[in-house]
Amino acid sequence: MPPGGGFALPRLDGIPKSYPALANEATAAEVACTLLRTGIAKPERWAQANGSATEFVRATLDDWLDRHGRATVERNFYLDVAFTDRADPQSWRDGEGWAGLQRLYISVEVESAGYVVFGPTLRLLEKVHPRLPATFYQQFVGSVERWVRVYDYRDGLERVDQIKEWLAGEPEAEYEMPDVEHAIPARAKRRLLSDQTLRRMASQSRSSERKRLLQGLLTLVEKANQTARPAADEDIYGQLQDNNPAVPALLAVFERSDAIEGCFDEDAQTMLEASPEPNVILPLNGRDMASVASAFEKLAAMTQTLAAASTLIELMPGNERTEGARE
Amino acid sequence: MAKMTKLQETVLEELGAIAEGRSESAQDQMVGRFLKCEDWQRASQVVQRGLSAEERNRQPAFLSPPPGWLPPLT
Repeated sequence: MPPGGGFALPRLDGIPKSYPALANEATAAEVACTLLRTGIAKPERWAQANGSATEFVRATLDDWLDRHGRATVERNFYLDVAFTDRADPQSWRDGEGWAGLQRLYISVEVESAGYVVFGPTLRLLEKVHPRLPATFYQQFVGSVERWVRVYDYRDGLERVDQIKEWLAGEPEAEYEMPDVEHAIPARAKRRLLSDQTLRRMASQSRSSERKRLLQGLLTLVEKANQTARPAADEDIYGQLQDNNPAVPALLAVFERSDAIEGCFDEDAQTMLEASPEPNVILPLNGRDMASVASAFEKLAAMTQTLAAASTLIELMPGNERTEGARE
Repeated sequence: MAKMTKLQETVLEELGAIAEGRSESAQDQMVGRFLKCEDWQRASQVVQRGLSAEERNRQPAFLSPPPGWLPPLT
C-alpha cells in the first residue's frame, strides 16, 4: 500500500536518549556506594550532584584527579580519564555483551599529543659524559611508555619502512622520503650508563641545571617503576579488535620541526580513521572494594609518573611552557 | 575500615535506593526538566499540532486491487 500524504515522523523507540559512560543510574549508584565505602568518594559531594549517581561518580573521579597531581600532568599531557562500562568509551554496546558491574573500567584517552624537544638537553648532558644523553633519552621515554604511548624516532623509522614498501609496489610514484635517520643525533644512540652511575652523576653534578635534570630523571624512573600498566586481557582485546592503535600522548623530537615531527604530522592524518584504543584501561569490579582500590592505586602510579615527566619537561631547555604545547 | 559518619550513611542509603530502583528521582527529574524548559514544551506543541493536522488533512487514496484480488478490508 502506498504511503498516505503528509509527513512521516521518525520513530525514536528504543533509541537511547543519552550515551552515559556507565549503563544507567542504578549501575552508577552501585559504583558510587563502593567508592564511598573505600573512602575514594567524599559524601559532601552528593549534595552537589543533584541526586544523580552518574554525576556523583564523575565528580568523584574529578576530585580524585585534582588531589593526585592533575594540575601538573595537564601542563604537558592532554588526557581524558573516565569511568566506563566498556573498554572503548567511544563505542556503544547496546546491552549485548555487557558483563555488568563485575566488569567496569577506568580508561585514559588522549585528547591531543604533548610535545617534548630533547636536542638542547642532550647537548648539555654530553658535556658531563658522552653516554649520558642516550641514557637520559631512553630512560625518559621508557618510563613514560610504561603508561602512555610516546611517538618518537622509532615510529618515524617505521613510517619510512612503510613508505619504502609502498614505493616498491608503486615504482612510478614520487614521494619525498623523510630523513629520520639523519634527525637522530649520534649522542642519542650510544650505549647506556648503568643506574648506579646515573645516580652517582646526579648526586655529584656541579652544575645546578644538570643536577636538577638528572634528579628529575631519577624521580621519573622511580615513579614509573612502582607499577606498570596492566596488560590487556582477552575480553579487552575482543572489544578493541576493530580499533586503531592508541593515539600517542607525547611526541618526542630532537629538534622542532625535524623529520620525526614531519612523520608524526603525516601519521596523525589517519590516527582517528577508526576509534583509537585508550592508552590505559584499568579493569575493575564495581562491587568489590579491593578491586576498586587497586584500580585507583594503579591510576595514582600513572598520574605520579606523568606528573614527574611533566615537571622534567619544564626543566629541559628548549621546552618553555608557552611554546611547549602543540596541537 | 574507618567508622562511617552519619552523612556517609545517609548518602549510602540514598544511593542504595537508586541502585535498587526504589528512588523516583529519575522520573521526578524528567518531569521537572520538562516543566522548566520552555523550548521543550514548545517543541512538544509543534509535534502535537503537526500530528493533529496530519490527522485532519489525510485523504487516503486507495488503489484498485490487482485483478482477481479481493478489495482490502478497512
